[in-house]
Amino acid sequence: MMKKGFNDILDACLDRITRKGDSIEQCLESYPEQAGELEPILRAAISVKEASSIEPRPEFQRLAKARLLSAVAAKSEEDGRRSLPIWRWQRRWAVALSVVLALVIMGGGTVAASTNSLPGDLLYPVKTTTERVQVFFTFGKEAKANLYIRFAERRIAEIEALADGERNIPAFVLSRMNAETDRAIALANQNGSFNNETIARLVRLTTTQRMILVILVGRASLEIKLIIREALRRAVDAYDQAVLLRERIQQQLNLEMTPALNKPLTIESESVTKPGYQLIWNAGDIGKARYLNAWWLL
Amino acid sequence: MLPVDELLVSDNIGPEQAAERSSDMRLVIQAIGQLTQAQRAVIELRFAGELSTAEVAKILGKSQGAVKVLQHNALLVLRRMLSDWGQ
Repeated sequence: MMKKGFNDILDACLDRITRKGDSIEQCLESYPEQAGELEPILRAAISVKEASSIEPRPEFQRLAKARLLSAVAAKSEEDGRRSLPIWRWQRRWAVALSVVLALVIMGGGTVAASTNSLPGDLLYPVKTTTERVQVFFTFGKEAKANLYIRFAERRIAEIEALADGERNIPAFVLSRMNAETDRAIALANQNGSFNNETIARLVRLTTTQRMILVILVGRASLEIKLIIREALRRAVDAYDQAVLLRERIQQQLNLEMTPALNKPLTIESESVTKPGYQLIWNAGDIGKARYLNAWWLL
Repeated sequence: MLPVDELLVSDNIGPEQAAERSSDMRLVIQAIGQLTQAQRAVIELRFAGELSTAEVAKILGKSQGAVKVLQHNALLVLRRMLSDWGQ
């Protein structure tokens, strides 16, 4: 009971200091009985806050200014486009056939040109349709999972590009990113013998998603915050599952290894800190978002 | 490997200040890396995401009380580590 009271006081002080700009001293004055216990914890919190509020580079400033105004409407539109399950199989064939026909008629030029398109661009529907066809013609759970991972990575790149260009980020891009990630994880869960690198890609992907979404959710308007928060919740779940998958593989490897070779698996993007102040940095695919909140890369 | 200094330090401060700042941040970042997964999630969302406890609780699917406990424990761990490392 006593501990719960202290947690509430600590939380209130953190809110005052990190969100309202109060000083540590002002907080301590409000809670003189807990001041001795509070002060060192608050000072640690300030250190963390400082590490997370590094003065941003221009790229981040642009990201922070990203306008997400069309998100709600776009999400409703995307929801409305969902077909009934009974038609899904036929629709997949229809989409596949139409793209194959389009390729035959136009050659690959349009499809190739659509690769760099962003949501809202004329060629973006070509890009997403091509992706659906690629999924359709990819066989094997791991190959399909890798494809979904690649597409989810594309969604992140699109979100970053839209933010950099100060363009709206439609909600359907966020939900597609989550859905593609979830599908990759579901496939990995169905098949316990995925390659280490596939699982490492999943961990990298979900780590990046969390980082980007936390940046966005901290700066979005209240209206849009709800949508990004939901995407973030799904990204956090996905990360937890990816880490569990990695641990499962680690356990399997440990069982197979001889004691002499039994050392921890390290994943590049999730750099590992060891005692002795060794920091291993490898941002990998994280790209422009690397300048902020660097502990995601740990 | 990316240089931490380059990642974390703005162009608008002097080299000495930058070096000191990046060194402190190195320690903080390393300390955060030692937290449990749940503790890190809470610290990330509270301090980098600037979310309220209620928002963090919703995202993580935990009660506000549980988030506050995680936050408290995480900060205790960080404080101990930073203190041990001489910050």
